[in-house]
Amino acid sequence: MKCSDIQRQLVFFIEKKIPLELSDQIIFHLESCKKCKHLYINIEATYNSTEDVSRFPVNPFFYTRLIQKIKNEEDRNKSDFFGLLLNKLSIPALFLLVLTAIYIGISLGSRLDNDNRLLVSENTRMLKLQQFADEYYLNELNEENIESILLTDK
Amino acid sequence: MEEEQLINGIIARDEQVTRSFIENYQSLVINTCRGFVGNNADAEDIAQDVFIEVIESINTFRMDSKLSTWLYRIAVNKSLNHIKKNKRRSFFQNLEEIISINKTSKFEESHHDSEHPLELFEKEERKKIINTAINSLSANQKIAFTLLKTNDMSYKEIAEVMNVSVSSVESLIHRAKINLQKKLVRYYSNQL
Repeated sequence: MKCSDIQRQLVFFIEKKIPLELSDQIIFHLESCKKCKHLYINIEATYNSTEDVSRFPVNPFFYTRLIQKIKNEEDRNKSDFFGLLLNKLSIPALFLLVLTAIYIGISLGSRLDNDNRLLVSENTRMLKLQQFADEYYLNELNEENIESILLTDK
Repeated sequence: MEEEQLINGIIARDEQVTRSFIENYQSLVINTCRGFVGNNADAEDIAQDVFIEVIESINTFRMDSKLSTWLYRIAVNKSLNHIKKNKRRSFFQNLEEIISINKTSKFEESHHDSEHPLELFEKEERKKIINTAINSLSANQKIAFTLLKTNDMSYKEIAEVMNVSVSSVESLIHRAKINLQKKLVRYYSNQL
């Protein structure tokens, strides 16, 4: 058997899950091939180091620590209730705030525009009155100062 | 105690029943987690999270499988999530280990006090090699192989936990062994 054939069977050989005839061939090869023997020794030791976990002892304080952890989480959740509530409401509150700010801005802007329009219409009205007065000499004093009238009057 | 009684007791938050449940199943859960994460401390932390999740969501358990099967599933998922999370932190942890003066003992989990330190060191190194090889398998192969090798579960039990057929489990384990073999042969061939 070639070394590559042996190396393809090593794990199954270690687990004793190959036919007897093949197993004998592998043993024969390992006795004569140093490289494959080295591989077999190391792979067997490493592969079998996956632990038999049932050998580990049970921690006697596991239950106590678990109950304490559950209690701590419950206490944290209670005291953090308002914090949690604020957290949950923060995004909708922020959204409302932005909408409100936009609404206020639009309202202010539209009122200013109204004021400007009022001012413009008032100015237009005054201008028309002025034109009427000028046409019918109602504001003669604009043409001549009162001082000059008084000074020249005898 | 029958499973149904146990479940009703946990839902009712009966302290005695809950304690009995935890004490009966803690080995199962911790050992499953240890098979994936490789150390006791992390395994116990994950096991605590498993029990907390079970207690909180026990009323959603439909009893279409055994309680132990459900526990295995949660333990496997939490362990895999822990491994994923740790992969991100491992770079910084390794850096910390290099520059740290107070290194934690690598032998703190060994209970073979009579073993020679060199033998212990070699054992730890081999465990690291095989764990690295197992972690490089695909998720399903890793789960199937770990449950078989470290929890000594039958193919049928593994199939129930993974919710697949027995033949799928056989196929997964066979491929896992072939892949592990390739990695180990490559690793030790490079040492020659």
